[in-house]
Amino acid sequence: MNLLLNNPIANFFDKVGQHLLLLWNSLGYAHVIFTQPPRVIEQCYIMGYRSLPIISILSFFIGAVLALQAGFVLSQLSVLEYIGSFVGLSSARELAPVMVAFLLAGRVGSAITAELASMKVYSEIDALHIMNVSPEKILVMPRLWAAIVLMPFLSIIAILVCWLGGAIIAEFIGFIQLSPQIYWRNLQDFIVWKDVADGMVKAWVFGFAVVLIACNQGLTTTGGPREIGNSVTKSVVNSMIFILFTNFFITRAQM
Amino acid sequence: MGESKQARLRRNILHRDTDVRIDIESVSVSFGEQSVVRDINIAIEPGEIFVIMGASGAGKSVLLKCIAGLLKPNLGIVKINGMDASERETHHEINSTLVFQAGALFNSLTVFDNLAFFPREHKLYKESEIKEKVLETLRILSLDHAAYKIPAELSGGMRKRVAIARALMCEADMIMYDEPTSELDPIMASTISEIIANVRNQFGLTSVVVSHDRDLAYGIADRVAIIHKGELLAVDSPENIQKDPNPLVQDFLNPTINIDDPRFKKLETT
Repeated sequence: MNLLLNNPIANFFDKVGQHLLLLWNSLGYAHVIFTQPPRVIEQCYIMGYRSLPIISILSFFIGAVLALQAGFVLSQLSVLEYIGSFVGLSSARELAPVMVAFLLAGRVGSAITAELASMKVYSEIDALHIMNVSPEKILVMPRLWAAIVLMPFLSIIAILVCWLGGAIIAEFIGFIQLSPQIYWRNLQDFIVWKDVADGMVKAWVFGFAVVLIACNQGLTTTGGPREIGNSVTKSVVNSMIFILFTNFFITRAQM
Repeated sequence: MGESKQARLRRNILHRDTDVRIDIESVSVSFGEQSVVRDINIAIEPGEIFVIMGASGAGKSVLLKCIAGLLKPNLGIVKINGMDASERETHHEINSTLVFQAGALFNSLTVFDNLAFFPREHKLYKESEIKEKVLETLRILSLDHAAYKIPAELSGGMRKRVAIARALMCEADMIMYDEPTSELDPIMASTISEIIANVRNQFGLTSVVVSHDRDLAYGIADRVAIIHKGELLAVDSPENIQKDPNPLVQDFLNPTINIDDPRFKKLETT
């Protein structure tokens, strides 16, 4: 038995099983969005409203850097007007959803793991079990709902701010100086709704997974306070690996 | 249409049945290679205050977790009124509560909200009734001034009392206490002992107390069990257990410190 647990492959499948079990148990409380809306709204506030400023700032600079790099190459090819499509497509399909998911893993996922791990280590989760209150009902499902509701909004805001950042840089940087009309027209010519929808689907999958990974890591923490820090690290690292790994397959499926 | 799980749970909580019997049958627990509890058999009668004593690491808290259904024994079974304690369904039928060693209070909630948590979650009463009950419970335990403090602002003794108050709000059929007097001064420990006895006398709850506090055991227990390295040494009334001939029991109940012990000599030279 010990040999089995020390086997990394067995460990991997054990973790996958834990996540699926947590998801299954949590889905049994999917009704909390109707029965306990304040809990979902509170998580939406933490996950969405508080993350919005940092998502906006980072999205702006990602759009800006994209425009800068694209402008450098495209100016040499004398096709500067394509900056709009370059920034538009890359941010909508890839960078905005992945960046939002990374931010969610670093900012929200880590906080969720720290909170639940602390509750586990200090027996608060046991106290919930004793009171016949399921942790999935009051701790996991409201957070999953918040991710389901918010991720499409967060990703669309990130996409729009990326585009805006690109437009501003394209207009004001000396060696580019592309008028906003050309930038936005080119972006409109190349971007279709499916591109934005694909990005939103990615963000939705990533956000849901980040919250699930964070909750599972928190609820399976054992040991003393030191393990809380270890759990937070594992949660963020596992989320990022999941995002990058899954991104490849979703991108391939969306082509 | 069948009754929902939530509705049945609510009905069971409101219909208090304190006639709870606990049977611990051949229970063994091990973590990996380490055997923590070995083949323990105890029967706890309804309405009894049963104190499980033993040195640190003897396996008493593990045994309590088995009774509470937080841990499934590797071997044997704990039965509560004939039902397997490790099944959640049993705890839906028999509403039990546990006062944790460190309180396990919800740190993000005020004392008031900690106490109101259980009735609110199970929708037992209207909010005005919950408020009334919480304030009354706080008043009984002399905690009314702490209602709107958060657990981090409380002293160790107050945390214990809040944990007991929260357990009382659960309207349980049986109650368990894990080291209720640890880290407390003798006066506070005696107050907690009185509270445990009063709770049993008032509600007739079967009470299981895990402790290494002899004063508590002698003062309130109907029966005491002594565990040593995971094995049950003796079960008897406090009066009889003090006369138990087993040297391990006597060593635990009446420890003597021999300063000529070679271990202490070794400490002196280091």
